[in-house]
Amino acid sequence: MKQFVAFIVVFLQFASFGQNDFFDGIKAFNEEDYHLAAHHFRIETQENPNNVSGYYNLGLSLMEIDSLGKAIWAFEKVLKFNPNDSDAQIQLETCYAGLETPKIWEPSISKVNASIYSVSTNFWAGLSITFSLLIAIFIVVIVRSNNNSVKKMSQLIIAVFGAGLIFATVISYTSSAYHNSNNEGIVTSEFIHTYTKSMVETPTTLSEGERVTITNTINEDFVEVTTILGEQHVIQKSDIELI
Amino acid sequence: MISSFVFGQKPEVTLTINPTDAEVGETISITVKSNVQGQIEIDNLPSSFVYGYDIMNGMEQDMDYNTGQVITYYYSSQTGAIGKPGKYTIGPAFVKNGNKVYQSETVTINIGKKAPMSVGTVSAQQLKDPAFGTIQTNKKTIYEGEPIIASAKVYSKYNPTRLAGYIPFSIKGAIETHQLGSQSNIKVSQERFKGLDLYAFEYDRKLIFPNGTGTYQIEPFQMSLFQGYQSFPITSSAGVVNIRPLPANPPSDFISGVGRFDISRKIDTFKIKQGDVFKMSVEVTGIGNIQNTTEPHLNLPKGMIVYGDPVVTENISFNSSGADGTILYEYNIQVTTSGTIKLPPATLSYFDLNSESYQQKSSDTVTVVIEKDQSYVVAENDDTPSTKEENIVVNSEIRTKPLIKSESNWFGTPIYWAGLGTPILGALLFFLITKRKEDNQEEQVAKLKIKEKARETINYVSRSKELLNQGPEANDEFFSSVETALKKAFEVEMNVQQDRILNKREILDYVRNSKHSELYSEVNDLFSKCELSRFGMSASNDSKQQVFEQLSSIIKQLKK
Repeated sequence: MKQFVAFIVVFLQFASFGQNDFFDGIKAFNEEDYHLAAHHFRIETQENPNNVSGYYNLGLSLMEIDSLGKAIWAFEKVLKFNPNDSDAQIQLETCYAGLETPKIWEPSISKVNASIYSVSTNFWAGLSITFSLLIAIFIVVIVRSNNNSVKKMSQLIIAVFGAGLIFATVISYTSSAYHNSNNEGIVTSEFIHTYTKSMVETPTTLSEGERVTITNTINEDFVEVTTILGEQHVIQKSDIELI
Repeated sequence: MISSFVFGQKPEVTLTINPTDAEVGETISITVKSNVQGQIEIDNLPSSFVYGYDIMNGMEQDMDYNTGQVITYYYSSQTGAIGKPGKYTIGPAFVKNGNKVYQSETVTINIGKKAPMSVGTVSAQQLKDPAFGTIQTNKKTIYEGEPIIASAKVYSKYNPTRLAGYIPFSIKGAIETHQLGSQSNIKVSQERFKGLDLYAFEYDRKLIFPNGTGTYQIEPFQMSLFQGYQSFPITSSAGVVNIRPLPANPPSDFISGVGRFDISRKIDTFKIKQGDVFKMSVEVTGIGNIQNTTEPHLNLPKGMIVYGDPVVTENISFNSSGADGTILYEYNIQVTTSGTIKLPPATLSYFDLNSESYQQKSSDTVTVVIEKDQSYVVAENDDTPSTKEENIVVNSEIRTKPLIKSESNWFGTPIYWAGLGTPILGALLFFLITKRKEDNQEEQVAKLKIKEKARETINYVSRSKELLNQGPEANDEFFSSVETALKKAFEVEMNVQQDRILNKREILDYVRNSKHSELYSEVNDLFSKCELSRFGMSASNDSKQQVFEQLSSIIKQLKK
């Protein structure tokens, strides 16, 4: 018994060790040392890339130090995990309104998609497996039953569950594609330069908070991107943070 | 009348269109006036413009009182009508003089849909008169606030040349009237009215905004209608219009609008310092009685105060659809709070004539960031009206609990596909196995049946052999046994699984069409012998021996 308790204590110590930066960040934030808070939350999100609260708190800290482009990136990360996070949506509206050139934030996906993607992909995958199981059960019922009305009812149920299976599988696929995509980024500097495909600088710049989609990788340093307005530019990969 | 002037060095070209608010098919007059003589061209005339017959070209002289010079103006006027409703920008007009071209500014005109008019009452006495008048309106019943179009309609039995002494029709209590179209252009046409062929024309078309509710009389108009020097005095019949009140309990943001309206809002900054003032523009667009509407509801949150009165800019025109245009309200808003504030939408409600119900329209929601100013002192009694909800919406609370989202996404993994496919595949496999099992069982039963029949064949053959050497008393049984043995043998050959005995016809048909067709005569002969025995034909032991051998031979052949 003593050995078990000792194991639990050691385990909890190790478990909490990974979240020191998270709690240090909260402490710094409460002490209004926002630079330090942002530093801790940045480390926390690097060590635990799936800590949604870490990204949210990082966004809040960055807002306080007027680093709005990076804060936008952090809140977009929160929305990537949970597209229905209303707090993050409000913070994004605030960030965009506070930019040097104020903008109105528009969600990148529809409300229906946001609701669907807010539910875990594993849930949809599990649902499709459940439908598969139910279909199997009713196939067995059809084989075993001698009653024609039971057979007909089972066929109907199989048709309904079949439709459910297709729906859940398609949603699982799109949800998985949404959560696994890593070709979207945010301009986090005040402005960034754009280039031609032969790496010659153009007079056009992209401003802080601009959301871009990487469409083509030119080389290790440069990528081709499309803005929300559909404009295509070549930019330095290091000028954006991937969501 | 809208005129546009273009001043060059000295040359001057003016494009004038009268009226600028008309309806489909109504005569409009386009005039180009210039102090330069030359060839005139007008650009951007709509494709639906139909040229009229009235074309006037001429010149006039004017005195410039500053310089004392006499200026000669050349003008060209053309009438016509536009066949499609809409907003048209006509012009510029060009005057070409030698190598030089001078141009006017453009003129925008609104063409509304043609309002269907219904003629008022006409008495039997009026129909007997040489000429008579009635008041026609586009509607008999309207809602409070809704405009009505009314005009004087004159019928005469003679072709009128001019009118004089016109006293217009009027409605008691009408708050506003607007002339529609031009009174100078009168189009006389021939119409059939109550079985009479008459000359008719419409005059003095007005857009009227009546006041109050109830039944109102439109007072008659009077005029003298001439043909040459002879005239006939006309007093028209009166018209009636019924004004219905709007439904009770209008929404709190009702702006007294009747028709179709919309609202939009703009602010000049999204980032502001506490205590500062920002500009908010709210634009109300609509058709109906927009000129009589009140301010929309701003729904300002607590901490925002309207500073002074708004600047109101109206851009309204009157046409057959009513008052059409926009009203722009520019407010100065002072901010007394700080933080990030979500401005609720500005709203308005109006009475929609199509659905006959109150409709609400809202502007977009806007978020503004207000920087805190330590030196700003908030007034203690800030009694700014606030919406029910607290509008300072930003939740700046830091999240104190880590929320780790599961990293493992097992969609598309082998486990997922196995989990998805195994149950269905398993069930299908089960289905196939069960089906196969059932098929096998049936096959086994069939095999047993055939075996049983083969055994019976042997038994009957053995029995026949036993009866072969017995006396004539056993003949019947012998032949019966032979016949049954033969039938059983064919049941085995033909794989008949059912519990039934084949008849002679079936067997012979089979033999004829099978590989054993050479046995046909032999089988037929054997059946015949058996049948003959049943009819009492005696048989010797030799013939029985022959029958038995025939049976054995057939069975042997079948077994091959």
